[in-house]
Amino acid sequence: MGKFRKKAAVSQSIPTASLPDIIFILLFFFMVATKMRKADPKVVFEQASATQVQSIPETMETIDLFIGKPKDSKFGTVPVIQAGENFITTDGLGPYLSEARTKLPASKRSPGKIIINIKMDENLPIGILIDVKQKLRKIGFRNLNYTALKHSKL
Amino acid sequence: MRKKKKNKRPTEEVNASSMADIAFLLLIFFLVTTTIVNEKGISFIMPKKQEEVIDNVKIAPKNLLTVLLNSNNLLLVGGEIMNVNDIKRKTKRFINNRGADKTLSDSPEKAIISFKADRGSQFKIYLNVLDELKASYNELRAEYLNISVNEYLSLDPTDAEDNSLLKQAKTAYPPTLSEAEPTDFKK
Repeated sequence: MGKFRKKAAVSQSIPTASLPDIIFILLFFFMVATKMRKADPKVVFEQASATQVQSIPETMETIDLFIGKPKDSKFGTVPVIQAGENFITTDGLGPYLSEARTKLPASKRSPGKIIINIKMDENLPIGILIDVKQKLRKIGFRNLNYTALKHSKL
Repeated sequence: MRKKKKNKRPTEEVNASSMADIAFLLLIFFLVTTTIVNEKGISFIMPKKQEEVIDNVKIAPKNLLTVLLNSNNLLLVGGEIMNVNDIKRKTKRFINNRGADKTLSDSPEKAIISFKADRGSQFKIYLNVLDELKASYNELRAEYLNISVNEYLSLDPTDAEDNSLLKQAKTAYPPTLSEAEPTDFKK
């Protein structure tokens, strides 16, 4: 009996005091290394790949435009442009961008400091892209980026 | 007697066992709402919208290389049907000719590559061609600076030293890639 008691008195728990610290380190890592998701793509979007990809300079603000066929078939099967949470036509680009600009910090609002990040499904014909580009040029947003994965040939 | 025993306890600790749970919750929240930064791609600047059509630009035919992509994803480079993988060899020779071949460009400054893609061509192929065209410039520039292409691509324009290198490379091989406006059939 005495023996039993002695064993029970010894603390058998693993010290977990440092566990929060470990989790916090993980948390901070993810906070730094990731970016808030601006919008969920509502279109089918298979990313194209290229060899000459470069990251966008951090001094530039980006506005995303998705181009693809709607995931939900009730919106049809024609490729559409998704800006923010909505589907728009090329005519809607002007109003959308001027609204999106107002959400950016004042020093980064000029079209010269904004990159339009085009995320287009790689299997689509580029007709819709040409329309978007012509429209963007007309309204003065001339910095474009085609999102692409890095793939190294050979 | 009891009180005395209590005071003999080693140290009073704040119960921090739930701290881990709170941190876990926060961690999972961030995992779900964020994405790993993947803002990479092929960037370029489009030319200003021209109000009037300038039609008197004279370019010697040998200084112009046209790249055409049709809706069947077939490629025509300077009048030859070509595979996407072969463009780079052709364009690099065209840009860096410096008058050696009478049918190719006089100098890198004068060499102009004009790329025109049909509305029906696939985005994947279109991007591949654009990629190859960019690659030919980037490879020539990287060669000029004596660095690898990957090193060239990672040069940071906001860094003063890198920027001067970029400027040097761009004076040696100016970006003379032009994307032709699509033909407007409505007119």
